[in-house]
Amino acid sequence: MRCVDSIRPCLEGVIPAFVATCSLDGAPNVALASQLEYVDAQHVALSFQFFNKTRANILVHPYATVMVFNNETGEAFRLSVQYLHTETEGRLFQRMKVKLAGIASHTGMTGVFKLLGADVYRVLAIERVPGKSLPDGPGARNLLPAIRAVSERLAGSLDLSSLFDDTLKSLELHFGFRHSMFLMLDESGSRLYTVASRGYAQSGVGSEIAVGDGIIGVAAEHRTPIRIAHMATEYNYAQNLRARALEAGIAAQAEIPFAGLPDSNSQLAVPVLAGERLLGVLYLESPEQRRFSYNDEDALVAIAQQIGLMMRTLQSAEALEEAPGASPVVPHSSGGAPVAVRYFPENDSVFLADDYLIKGVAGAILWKLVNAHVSCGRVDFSNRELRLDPALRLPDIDDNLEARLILLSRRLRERCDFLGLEKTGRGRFRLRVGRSLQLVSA
Amino acid sequence: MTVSAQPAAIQLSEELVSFVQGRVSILVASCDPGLLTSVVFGLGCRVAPDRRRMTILLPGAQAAACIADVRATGRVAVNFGLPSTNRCVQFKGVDAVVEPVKPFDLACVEQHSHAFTDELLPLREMTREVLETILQYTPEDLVAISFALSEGFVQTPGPGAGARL
Repeated sequence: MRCVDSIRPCLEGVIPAFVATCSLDGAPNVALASQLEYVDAQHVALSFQFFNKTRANILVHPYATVMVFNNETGEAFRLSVQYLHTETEGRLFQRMKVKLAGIASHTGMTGVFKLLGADVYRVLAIERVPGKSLPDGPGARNLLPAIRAVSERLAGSLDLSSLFDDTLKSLELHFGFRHSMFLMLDESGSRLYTVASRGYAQSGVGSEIAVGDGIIGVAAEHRTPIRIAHMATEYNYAQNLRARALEAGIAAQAEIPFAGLPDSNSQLAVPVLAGERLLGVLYLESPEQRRFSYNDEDALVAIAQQIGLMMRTLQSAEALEEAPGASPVVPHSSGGAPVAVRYFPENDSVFLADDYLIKGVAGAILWKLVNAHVSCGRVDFSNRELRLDPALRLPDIDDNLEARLILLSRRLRERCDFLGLEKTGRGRFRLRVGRSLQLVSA
Repeated sequence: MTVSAQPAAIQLSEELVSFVQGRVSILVASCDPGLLTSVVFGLGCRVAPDRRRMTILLPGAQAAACIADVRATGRVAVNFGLPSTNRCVQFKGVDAVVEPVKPFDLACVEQHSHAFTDELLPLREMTREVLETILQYTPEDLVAISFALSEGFVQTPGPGAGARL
């Protein structure tokens, strides 16, 4: 039998599918399906939104026919399907729920379409409806060479920082994905913070998203890729965060703005896992509608697997500290009027003069470094001593310290010309100080 | 399965006649005596002067299973949907028959094809060639199914869906 994979482009919904059922007394019924989701090579799911005739029929006679169309070739297929069960939570349900919000927004059905369940069907047969068809369009591009090229590039990444940058650069080079970011899960497991981005006017490095919030947060919470072809207002971070920031006024100053496109239409959020453990989310978006295909999603899931494994490997390597070399003579803070570094212990936030820089673990690290520098003139530090410092309250395992240092280093590079972090070896780094510092703790 | 003939229960309003003969998608479903369903894209609709019967024009090769089902059971369901407003209605018949195509049916199909193309193309990311492929037919392959309207339902998504017409 032809498997569902071979007709997957027909499930994108450009041309809605429709479904025929019948009652036990032999009365046929036909209805448009607002959403048909690929489950695997033998299964599809239909959205259950209303208790309608289709649903009444399949509950008593679980056999139906679904007709789908390929929007590039014009081919039509009839799927003979058997209803199995309904899922009201979990990965499939969450994927369909987010996607349905986008479909509703696109078709003027916001507030009407609401997912009550994902009805899972086994595909018993797929029939190509007779007739002529057009040749395949550009959507049929073979992505294997691009996956290979990205994979080879990532395999050469020497540390976490270059792994993040190499990932985003190579996705643009080989897939043409111009707007992307990488978010890490924080120590609490409840928030994600941006450590790298590409293609935005402001990098948004350091901006945070709660797990469960929007497309990125749902992908993280449910460990499932989320791909949508049309933006749903309720899932648009960039717009929502800007609106919230405007409402909040001054309180929003200590928030780093999320970088997302204001006119984003297509989005793909892929969880990065090491085994079952969530490390972060790789996120792509585009102002084009339907920018990301099922095949793109597959490719990104495969690439994310490699990223997850490499992150664990590179983090382990960083933990093995190199012996320090001869400590070079580093010029002490140069002159000029001292600049105030303000620290607020309640959330470990650090301001340079009056400008917010960073908070949380990265803020606490910076405060420790500048204190050691001002009191003892130190510039060279090791990851190990940070790990052993009880004041930083790093968890014993999987502390994400390297990712926090990357975040801090990038924030400093973007926001400050007199402080910086430079890697000096595996597990070692140097604080660069170009001005006198005046430390102020609230 | 045999179904006794029933008197036509509903008469279309003039507005619904215009709707089903307008810029709508036409989806046709049937099932065989063993309750196996089939479905096909309709190419045109002609409402009888008394507004109690309609004739749906189908591409014969693609509709082979539907046509066989209708011959066996007389039952059919037809959904009409206007993509720009999401308005949908469904009509059912229990006395459907397969009829020869009339000379003027070809014009009906041509007109529906143009109207539906004009409706759909601005709304969907697809080319005219793709839509023509979906609506393909050959005049000699056209088949007509005619039935009295035994039931009609609102099928526009939302709380009113399922209400009888």
